[in-house]
Amino acid sequence: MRNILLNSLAFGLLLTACSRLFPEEEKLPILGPRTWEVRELNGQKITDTIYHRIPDWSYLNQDSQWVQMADFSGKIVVTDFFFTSCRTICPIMKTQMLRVYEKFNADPKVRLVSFSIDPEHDSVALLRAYAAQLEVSTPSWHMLTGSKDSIYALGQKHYMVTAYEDEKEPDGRVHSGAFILIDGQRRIRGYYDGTQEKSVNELMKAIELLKNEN
Amino acid sequence: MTLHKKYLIPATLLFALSIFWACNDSRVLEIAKMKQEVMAVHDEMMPRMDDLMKLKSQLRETIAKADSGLNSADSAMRAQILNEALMGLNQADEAMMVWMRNYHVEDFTQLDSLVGYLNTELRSVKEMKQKMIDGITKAEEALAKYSAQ
Repeated sequence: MRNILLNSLAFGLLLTACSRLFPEEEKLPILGPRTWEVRELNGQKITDTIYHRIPDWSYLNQDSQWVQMADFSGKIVVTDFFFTSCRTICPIMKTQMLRVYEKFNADPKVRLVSFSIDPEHDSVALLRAYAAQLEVSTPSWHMLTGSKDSIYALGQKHYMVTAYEDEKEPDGRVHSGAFILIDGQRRIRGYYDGTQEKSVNELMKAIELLKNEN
Repeated sequence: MTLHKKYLIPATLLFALSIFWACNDSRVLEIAKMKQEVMAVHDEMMPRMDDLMKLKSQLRETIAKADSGLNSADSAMRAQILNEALMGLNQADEAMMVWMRNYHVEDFTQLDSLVGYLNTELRSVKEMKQKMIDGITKAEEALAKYSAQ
């Protein structure tokens, strides 16, 4: 009896030690509204969770090429909303996005996408000059222009979605300095403050986590 | 007396210089305050761009929906009010963007011209704020009147 007790104690200790050695893998949450769909498989009812996904869009980049959301299938995308003549938070966002670019630009699995919210002014030529000044290459970092109404609607309804759903959320503005992390299945996996170095460090860690997940 | 004379010129110079520095310092402070004042108006209005853009999209949706319950005169009035409200928002949007594109405070190195520039910009940023507030108010009123119908 005593042996059994000692053995179970030892086994328990071993389990605890193992769980410490192999901690449960950290996972990023899936954000945005979700719905559930019930389907039948082999006579059994199965409930699928339908997550919020970024819809299709198509805009021109700094090289005057059409870029679509579908081009980023299976890739991790960091998105922000900016404009070249903004002198308040954009210069800080730019510095922080450059850090993300420098860390991941050689990685074909990671892409940066910046939407201009002053597209009437931020023409392809202006975006090209802006990208050239930052010395960034197009496949890794797309700067997009198009219709302002459509970019704002996309941002408000599909990217800043948690705040759009709940007006009480602190900062759901499109031009709030947020860096939005999208996974390879177009799902929102995190919002980070693009004006704060610490938050961008978190974003870079989250990208690594997502890379292991995909 | 000779001693006094010896120090008279450097003392006057020092006095003049200190007045110059003090004046310059107060001008620098005044300029910093003016810059803050201009940017405070901008910072107050920039978050409202989101409201403005949402209202624009709501107005466009309302305009697109035909209102069968109205007679032709009322229907024309509805279209006119909604379109005017949309135009007001477009102008307010343009006013904000144009103001931001044209605000180049860093172009001025001379204190005098900078003060003049900031005075003009303060007027102009306040005009932009008024345009945005008027546009948003008019759009909300138009939508309250017609979007439910």
